[in-house]
Amino acid sequence: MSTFKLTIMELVPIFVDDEGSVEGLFAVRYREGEPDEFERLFEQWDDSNFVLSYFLFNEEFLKDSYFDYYETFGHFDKAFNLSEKVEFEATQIYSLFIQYRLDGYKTSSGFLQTLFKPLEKEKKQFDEDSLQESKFKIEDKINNPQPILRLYGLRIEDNTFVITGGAIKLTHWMEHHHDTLEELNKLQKVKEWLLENDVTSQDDIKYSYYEK
Amino acid sequence: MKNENFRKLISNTPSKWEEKVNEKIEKPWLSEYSAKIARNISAILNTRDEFNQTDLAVLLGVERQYISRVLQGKENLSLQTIWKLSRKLEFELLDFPTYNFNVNEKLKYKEFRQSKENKNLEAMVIPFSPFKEQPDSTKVIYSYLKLKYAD
Repeated sequence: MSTFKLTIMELVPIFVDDEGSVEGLFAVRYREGEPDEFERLFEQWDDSNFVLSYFLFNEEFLKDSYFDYYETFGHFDKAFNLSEKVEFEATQIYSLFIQYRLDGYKTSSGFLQTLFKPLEKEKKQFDEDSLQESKFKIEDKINNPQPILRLYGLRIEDNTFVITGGAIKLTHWMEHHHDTLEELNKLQKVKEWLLENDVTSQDDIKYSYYEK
Repeated sequence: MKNENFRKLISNTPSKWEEKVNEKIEKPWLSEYSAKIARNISAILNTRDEFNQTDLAVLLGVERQYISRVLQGKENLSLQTIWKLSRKLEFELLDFPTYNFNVNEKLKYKEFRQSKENKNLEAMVIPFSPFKEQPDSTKVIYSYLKLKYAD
């Protein structure tokens, strides 16, 4: 059962169209006085103690073949290596978003919609339906071929996304770790909240298996 | 999308994400040094059930919040603090390489200085490193932790 208590306050602009439209990237702020999800995740991934402790606490998940890429010998080795990786990857992700904010995200090389992908395994393209569950991960086959950090959000429409959360991804299936399962729950809750506020109309809220 | 409905949900309080990211990018020593030291301290504390953040704060005579920030990798630690932490943790947090200025390298340096074309270039960069490759502190702590776990 989910422990997540939803008290959605508002949508915080991360970067938006300068022309006064609501096109752009937003993040949910769940509770008053707390940072929005985009800011909170940066703080979390940039906290050396949190990240190392997270990997030490989740020792059993590091034995998964998902982490075979890390040719290391012991639990501590993996935890150290992965902690450094998280720090590196977080900087990569947030630097990329700074670049998008500075260069504009609707240029030929920088459509915001190209950064996000549908969350559902079988879907390669976004549907025309709005409020589709989406994911972001860094694409860097040379320096970071197996990214471990994810941002999750809802696609409102082309170039407009709402980030609902993110996670250090330890299992192939989101349902197999309580943190990523919680992220699925958050996606659904925010979707319902947007629908209640008549942001869009959509009859079918899907809940099926999701990939990385 | 119904713009007006969406607009009603938008906050007037801006995000501070960019400010925080820029602060990190502008202070590379935090990720290259402070975070590494923080992970080492965190790992050591994890191996010692009888010794936690509060105990460390008491031993150092500082607030627990300060230790918390050190462990987050957010503190620009002074050499004095690193020295104190190393003594209390009984583990050297800074690892210095041995100065291996060996005979062959001395000869190379002498030849370089005496060569005609370089004779007058006193300020020229020495074309080799006097340091021999040494294991970095992270590898040293891996070995330490493996020993602890072996116990």
